[in-house]
Amino acid sequence: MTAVDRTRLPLPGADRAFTLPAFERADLGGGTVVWAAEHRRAPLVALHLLLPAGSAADPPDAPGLAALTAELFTEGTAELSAVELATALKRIGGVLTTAVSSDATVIALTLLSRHVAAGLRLLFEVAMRPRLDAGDVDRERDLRINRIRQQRQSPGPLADRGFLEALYRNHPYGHPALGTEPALRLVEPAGVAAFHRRAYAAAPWTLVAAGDADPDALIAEAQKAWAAVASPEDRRPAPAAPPDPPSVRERMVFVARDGAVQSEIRLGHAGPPRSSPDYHALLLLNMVLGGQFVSRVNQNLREAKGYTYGASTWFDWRLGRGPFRLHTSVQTASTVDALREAVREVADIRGPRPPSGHELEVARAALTRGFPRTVETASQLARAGVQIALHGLPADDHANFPRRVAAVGAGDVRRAAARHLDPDRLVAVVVGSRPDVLDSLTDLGFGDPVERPADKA
Amino acid sequence: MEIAYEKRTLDNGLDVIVHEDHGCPIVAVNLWYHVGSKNEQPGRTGFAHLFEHLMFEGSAHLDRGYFHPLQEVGGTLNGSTSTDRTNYWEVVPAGALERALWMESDRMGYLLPALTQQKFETQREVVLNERRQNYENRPYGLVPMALMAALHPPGHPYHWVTIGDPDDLRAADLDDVKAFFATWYHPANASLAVAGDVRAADAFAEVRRHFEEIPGGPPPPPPAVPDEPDPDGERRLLLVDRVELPRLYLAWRTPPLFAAGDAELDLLAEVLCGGKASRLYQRLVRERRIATDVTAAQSSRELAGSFFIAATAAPGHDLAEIEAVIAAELAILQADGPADDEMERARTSADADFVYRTQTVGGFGGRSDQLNLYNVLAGDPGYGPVDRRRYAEADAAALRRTADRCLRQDGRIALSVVPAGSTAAALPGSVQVHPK
Repeated sequence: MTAVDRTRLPLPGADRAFTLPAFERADLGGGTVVWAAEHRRAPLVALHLLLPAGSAADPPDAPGLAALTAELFTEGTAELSAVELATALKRIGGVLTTAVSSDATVIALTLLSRHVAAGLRLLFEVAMRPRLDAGDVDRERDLRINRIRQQRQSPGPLADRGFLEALYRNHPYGHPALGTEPALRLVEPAGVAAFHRRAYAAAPWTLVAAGDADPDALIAEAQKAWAAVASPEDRRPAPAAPPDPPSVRERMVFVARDGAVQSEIRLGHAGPPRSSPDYHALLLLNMVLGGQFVSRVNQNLREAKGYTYGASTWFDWRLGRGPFRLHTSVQTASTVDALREAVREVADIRGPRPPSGHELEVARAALTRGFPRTVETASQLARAGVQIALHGLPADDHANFPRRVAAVGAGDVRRAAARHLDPDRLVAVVVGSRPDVLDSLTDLGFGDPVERPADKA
Repeated sequence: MEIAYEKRTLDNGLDVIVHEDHGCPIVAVNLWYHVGSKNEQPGRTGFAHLFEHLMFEGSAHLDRGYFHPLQEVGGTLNGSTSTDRTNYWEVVPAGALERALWMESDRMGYLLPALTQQKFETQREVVLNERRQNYENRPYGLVPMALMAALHPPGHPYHWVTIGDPDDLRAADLDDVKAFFATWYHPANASLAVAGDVRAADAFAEVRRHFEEIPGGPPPPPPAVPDEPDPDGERRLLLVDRVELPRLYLAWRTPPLFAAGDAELDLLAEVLCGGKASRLYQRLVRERRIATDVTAAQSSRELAGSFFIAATAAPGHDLAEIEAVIAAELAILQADGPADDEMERARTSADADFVYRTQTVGGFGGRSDQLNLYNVLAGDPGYGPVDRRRYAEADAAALRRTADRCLRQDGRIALSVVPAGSTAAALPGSVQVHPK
């Protein structure tokens, strides 16, 4: 055994061969397709049902309707009360979650693989035949209104809300999925049922299944379960991507939280859609800028300056132009300095200080060599499948990911930065202590701060 | 789920545990030091966690940030500090195991030469920011401080929270770092798990090559635990906070991790608040609509457990209404125990959790972290099946008895958190506290 050499770090060995489990696909008829992949690492199966409608499908006068309707998926079905449903799920070791994003709603059920047939029946039942009892609608609506009210004291959600409003105004991306209190107050049970029929039941579904099961058997079980709920009604096509957002009016939004010991900061602008040919180049760019701990923004604001516990950036990939965003929370006295540094990092990476060769290689390794651990679990694989289905990507998009990232050149990243980052269009939202922060915000060249009341939602 | 492993102990006292799984070409390295905020001294609280931050700032032979060399090979990493232990982990491509072990061993053996006043001060600022972000500037964020101080007497190792007191953090200096490192950060107080796509023999050889040169220190002293007198009646506390809705916390001192009653309390939390079919959710949120949420948990720790119930009042309702419903439900459980179907649900759910926990080899709560938990806190990395059996064998009668013994009204802390100007929403007779 050779002694350890402490004069140099060991170089990593070559990456081992790794094959991504492939999805088999089948059309179940009636507008639903199933994708199934084998992933036998634990005796579990992940079933992710993609309904291609999310908060962007909220009617303009009813922000929050999609998420409220989705909440009711766990409030019982035509046959099972909420308690019976919860009991049935626990009995199969199942965990059911509903996630509403701007473009889609995903009902995810992970369960013990020996109960997969029962799980599939429950999942389709929940999505197609929710009970939508008037009393449940009323109660869940009130609970969500109370959550909105509680968020008035939560800097993170307040900042997120202000950021979306400033960036998108009345665009379908301009509100969080939770919606607003005045709109939710007007929601009637009939409106929920109509939304379910129109936006969820009538949309084309994709069931992505991955786990400890044979894909053909999964497809066969899915067929049986689907036959029990399939309706003969025609499915509409999935909604198209929303239009480009309107131009921004206010670049500096301030939400008062007097006496706050930290300022919650959001910075960003509308970015490209997921369909952008620059997708892989921008993933690399973001890894250099703010995608991981060693990225510039975190190294600067946290490690060099000690302003914050952490700072990060990402492109929020959507069907339409989702936001490029920087998130951080900094000590009150450092608010304007932190903002200035953050803006400078965005400006520098597209101008005087493009990613160095070494930075790019670190970013590339994070994405390519780190790829296997992003599909270690069945749920991770199912989530990846959902993204492919939602965005209509080629079937081999995921398997080709490392190769695509490897093929991006330094020039591609520079061009993508120039095309998709624009310091002059950045919008900032600050939730912080007015006497300590507000006046200083005028110095940033973003125009005068516009104050947004915390209870405006 | 049984996690197959081999364990060896190096001459310097380092426990090494290896678990092979060749399903994904990654390897997890997970290192526990058996030190947490319970080992701090009053006046120097928050130190174990601050120290954890310094472990990422470089060591003698790699005097730069710890993240870069691992992220540049596609790895991911983190660390955390609790009352009981500090853990560090990396998940790397299988070919980078040697690098991860080199780095972990370098900071175990050679941290101090690279430590500077400037690194120390920057990380102290980062920690103060973490505290502001996660506690001070968050609704209900100071509740842990109030509850830990009330549950455990001054001088008890759980009297303070892991994030510490800001004044204590400001008072700490580099000499504290050096003493802390010498006492706690050596092989005989650590447990290293390697899990994933590696042959056990290779893993043991690499670990020995990197770690056996580090001298083991004396076994550190166990924390002094003062006798805790039995509570002499309920204590009602009031915390005025920047919140929208009042919230009630009920808290009890309970048996420690793995002790009799611990698993039963976990199952009781499930019966009371595990999802929409649970008793308290049914009563408070669905039927009477006087609360917007309700949660319960047994916090299982090494020296003592604690059981919490927390419920937020719906607008127009006060915490006394909520307390009355919870008290009535607890009394029913204490008299009759759970019904058969509740018991089955809770047990199936707990059992499924053991399966869910085996999905990843690394990270917080993954297989390598569990092997270390069982090794450090139960003395046996193979304790998993025993742990799981506790849940399978608990029955309704045991839950009834445990609820009766551990969740008595005269032994609890009742903390009302209310917005300024709404003290009337608190439980009557509550005494205001001012945690910071």
